[in-house]
Amino acid sequence: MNAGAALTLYVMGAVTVLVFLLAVTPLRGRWRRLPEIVGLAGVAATAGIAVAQWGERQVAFAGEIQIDRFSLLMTWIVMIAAAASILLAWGEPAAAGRRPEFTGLVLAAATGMMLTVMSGNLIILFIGIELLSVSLYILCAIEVTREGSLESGIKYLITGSIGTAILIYGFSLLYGVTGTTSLAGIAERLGTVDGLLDEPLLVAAIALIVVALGFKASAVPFHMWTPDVYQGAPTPVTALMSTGTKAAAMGAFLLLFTGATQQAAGDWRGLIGALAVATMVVGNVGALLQDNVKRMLAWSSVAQAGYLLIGVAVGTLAGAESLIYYLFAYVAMTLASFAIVILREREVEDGDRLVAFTGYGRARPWAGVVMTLALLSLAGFPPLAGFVGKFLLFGSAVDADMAWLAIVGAVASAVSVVYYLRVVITMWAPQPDGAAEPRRLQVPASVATVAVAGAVAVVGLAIWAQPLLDLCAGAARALIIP
Amino acid sequence: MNVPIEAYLMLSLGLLVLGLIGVMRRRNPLMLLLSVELMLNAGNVSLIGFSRLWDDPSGQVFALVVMVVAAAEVVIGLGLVVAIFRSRSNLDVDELSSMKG
Repeated sequence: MNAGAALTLYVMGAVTVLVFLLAVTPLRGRWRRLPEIVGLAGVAATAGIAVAQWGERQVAFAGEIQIDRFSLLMTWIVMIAAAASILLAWGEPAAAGRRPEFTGLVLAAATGMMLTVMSGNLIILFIGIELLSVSLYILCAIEVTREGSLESGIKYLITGSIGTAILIYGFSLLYGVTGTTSLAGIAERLGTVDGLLDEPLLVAAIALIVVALGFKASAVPFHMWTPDVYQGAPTPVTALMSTGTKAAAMGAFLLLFTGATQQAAGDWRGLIGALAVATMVVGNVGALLQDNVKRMLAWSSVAQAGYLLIGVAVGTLAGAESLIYYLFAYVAMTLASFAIVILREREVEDGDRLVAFTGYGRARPWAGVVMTLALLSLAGFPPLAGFVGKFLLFGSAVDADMAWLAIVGAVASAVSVVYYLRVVITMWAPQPDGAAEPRRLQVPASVATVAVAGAVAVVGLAIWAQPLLDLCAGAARALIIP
Repeated sequence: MNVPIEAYLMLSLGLLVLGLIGVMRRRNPLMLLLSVELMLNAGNVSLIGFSRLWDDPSGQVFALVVMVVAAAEVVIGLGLVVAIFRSRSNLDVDELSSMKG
């Protein structure tokens, strides 16, 4: 018992409360940015503590919170997503007057994501998922005067709560079969009690949990909400949803399946594999039809959820390792592309439409290069991080005798090249004659930082993949419950 | 009195199905929230039933946590519904369709 091990959670909790307190304090002049600065400092401190704690598993609160290589590495992903979304919203004109609340809610959502990946118990896992969902419902609707934002909020709320209800039902059946809510306890019972694996209630529990987490990770057929919610929400929130939420949902998948119910792998491998295939196919086909870049990225994030699910479906440590690596790559390329969309949105009306990007690469070459790198990496072009991640994921599927997953994945990636390249080509096309010079403004340094950092990471993670892969391998080993 | 676990499970399954039907058929966001509430309580009933079956308190703790979370969700749902009602004075989720595809 070592309550100090959960230091990261205390820091995030305290910073969240502090930022909400600042939100009700009138701040003027140079103090105006204080909530954002406090929030970023808290995120940096948490990331620093996570580095310092790297090592063997420590538990707090009788094993309810587990601090190990897996949860610390996932905490890093969450902190990157949270810091990026605070930076992307820095000076966002649409959110003026609500920035402190925005920062506080981002921190609350990040705390929920951390709690999810650190959980050693179904109850804690549930609280984590809910803390992040509830914060994101509000974040989606934070521009209360814009109808699209409200619509996005209510749609997310309703589909999200259905997912929550199904999750609870699945957890209750899992508890009913095993008689414990502790993840380690579940793994132990499944391994020692005879006949438990053939229990129909266990199969039902697994199916319900897969469905519910599928809602949160926007896997087909529970993805219907994704395009509308991603398009309607303020873009910094969309960036957080598509990176942080996806990472937390994948973390929950790994904890529950590759970790706790590893013994029952025969019950869920085919199911999650089928879900991955459907998600890759539908996501990529859906993205083909879009003429709005933000909406295209939403469909693409559905497709990416499919690639990520391969790492869960194979059920091996190699699968988990490649999944975590791909999450890093995915976070980098997604944040870079959303940063460029935000830049364009601030410059022109309806800046998320594809036509608004015509010739943008010529007008602002560095932004064009960042977007090109990010989209090529999402499509899986060779020297970039997205390629390395996909290669590892597909390789783990072949090693686990699930080569059909790799084949569908490769075909789906080939299709995805069409819509990613369409944006790239549009960006470098010449301006149409007679078109007005796009309104250009001073590039906000915060947005530029996220964009450039993302693009550098897309290249860097591919060239220096080995150190990160070693970390990911350690994280995957921590999933196995002793 | 000893209630068999099957009774708990039948009741909770019934509630879950009722909630699912409600979610699919109702168009008013308030009714949708109520149906989701039914589904959450279906989970609670089976958690408490299993908690008695195993004579283990953690199921009841879980049910209490679920209640708190459900309350939080409803608060946000109602807030959003009020905000939408202010801007359009008409509540039907089918009309919330400025984005399509």
